[in-house]
Amino acid sequence: MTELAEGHIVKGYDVDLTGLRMKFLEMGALVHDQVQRASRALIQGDADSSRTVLAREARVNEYDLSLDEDNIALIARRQPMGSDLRVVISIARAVTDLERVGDEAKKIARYSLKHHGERDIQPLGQLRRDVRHMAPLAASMLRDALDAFDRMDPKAAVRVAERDHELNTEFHAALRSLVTVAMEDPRKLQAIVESVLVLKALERIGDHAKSIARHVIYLVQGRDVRHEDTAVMAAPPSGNDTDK
Amino acid sequence: MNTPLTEEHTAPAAAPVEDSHAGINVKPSQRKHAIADLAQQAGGKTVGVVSVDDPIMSAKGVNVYYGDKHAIREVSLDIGRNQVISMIGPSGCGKSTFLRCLNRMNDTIEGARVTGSITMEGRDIYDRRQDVVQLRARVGMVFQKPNPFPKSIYENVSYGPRIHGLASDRVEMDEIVQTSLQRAGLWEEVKDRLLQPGTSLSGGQQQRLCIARAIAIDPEVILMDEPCSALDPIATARIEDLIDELRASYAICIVTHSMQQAARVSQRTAYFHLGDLIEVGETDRIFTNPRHKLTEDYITGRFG
Repeated sequence: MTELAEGHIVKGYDVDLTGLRMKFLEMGALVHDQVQRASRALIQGDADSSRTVLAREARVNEYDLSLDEDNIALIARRQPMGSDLRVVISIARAVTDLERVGDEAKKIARYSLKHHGERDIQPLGQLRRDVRHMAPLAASMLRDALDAFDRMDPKAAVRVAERDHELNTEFHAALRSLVTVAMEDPRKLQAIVESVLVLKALERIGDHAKSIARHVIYLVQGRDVRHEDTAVMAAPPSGNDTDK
Repeated sequence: MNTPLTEEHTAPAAAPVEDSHAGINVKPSQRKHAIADLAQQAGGKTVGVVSVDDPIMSAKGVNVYYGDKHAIREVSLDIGRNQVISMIGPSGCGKSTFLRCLNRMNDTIEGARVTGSITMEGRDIYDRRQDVVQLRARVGMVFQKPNPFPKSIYENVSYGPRIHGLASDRVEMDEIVQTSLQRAGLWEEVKDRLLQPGTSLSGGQQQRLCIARAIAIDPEVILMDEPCSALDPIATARIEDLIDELRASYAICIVTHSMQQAARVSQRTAYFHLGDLIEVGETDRIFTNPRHKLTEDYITGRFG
């Protein structure tokens, strides 16, 4: 990626593109930490951490607006072409994903604060066990997607996308166990539905990580694979004999 | 980006890198070699699709020499009907040389030699029996600097039809002049002063007058060699809009130094580098996902 931002005759262009990429990675690091912190706070019942997550959500939104502004300014001032254009477009798309991941982390933190101090009875106990399984998966998918973006590594991006089904499997297993809890005591239905929303938030974070991984394919190969399955994502770029 | 750099840096035999072509930011000599290697790697083999269905003109294996200088090498490229193809590349890359082959303008340059074949509607335009004046009537040209004749606006447009005998009387000639000026988007601005000198018009108007002059003789192809480089942005926008309208009736080849212009006006783009046709493709693809490293470096502003 560094190589990609450099080498322009106009040095200020290098500075702009590098700055854009650095800011995007900063936002990525912040959002990744939001996910980890929100999940850990839920598992450990740490209200302070949950409050930190909520307080920092404003910063995620600032990054979203600021990167959007930088992108628009760069398009207006430099008229990026070729790989530079793909950098700008893929960052714009990935920022939208990151901002939504930030929202999911916020949902988890809100849930934690609402149920803070409750004893470890069902469904909270079950939810904590499920989050303990799902959160590291979701967070590592996000981290690896950002890493693939930074290193412009399509193979690593494909590996991230392939892991999404693991997270989905965990999600469905967790749903089944919550349904069991519901059948044992229907009075807990409200709490169970709220728990499902937390699990769904983690499942969505995995989807966004997969989406960022797809943007890596566009960034590097110029192929738009947003609505394609993982096999198409992994397909090598087309040869020279076509013009699409 | 999809083209790997070769590991070995052999001496560039077929592609001598002249200092004037080395680019502003090409500092270390290795980079110079790397570029030469990439050009060599192309080795006359153009990336992308050079052919179109039912081309109006077709160049195959064209070489141009100016004395000892090998200006373009083994260029094959089709010109499609009703579409704009832009030729881009750094100065001295051969794009204008190629353009000038299409109506044999290179014939006028002493020591210029053209090999290979260029056909129009299947017939070789370099055939000895080809009437060059007739060819240039079918393949019109618009130059960088507007160059109206030092005559009236009317005579600028009527000159071509007159020498080619396209009008039998004054009424017909008036009609050709009016239609041509209308097509060039100039009629409304000049209809009340047709007898004033063409040189009294603004630069943008003069260029549209030259386009009117080119289309007055009913060509099939229009060649444009940087038609907007002497114009302000508004006059440029008018010409670009005109090019888009003219596409309905003509095949248009435009050489431009402005990549944004190429992106705006053309459907196909051809990238030339040091006499080689490096890459050809749909304009949308060339500017978002070029396949050759040289194309990528040029359109992103990394050398040139």
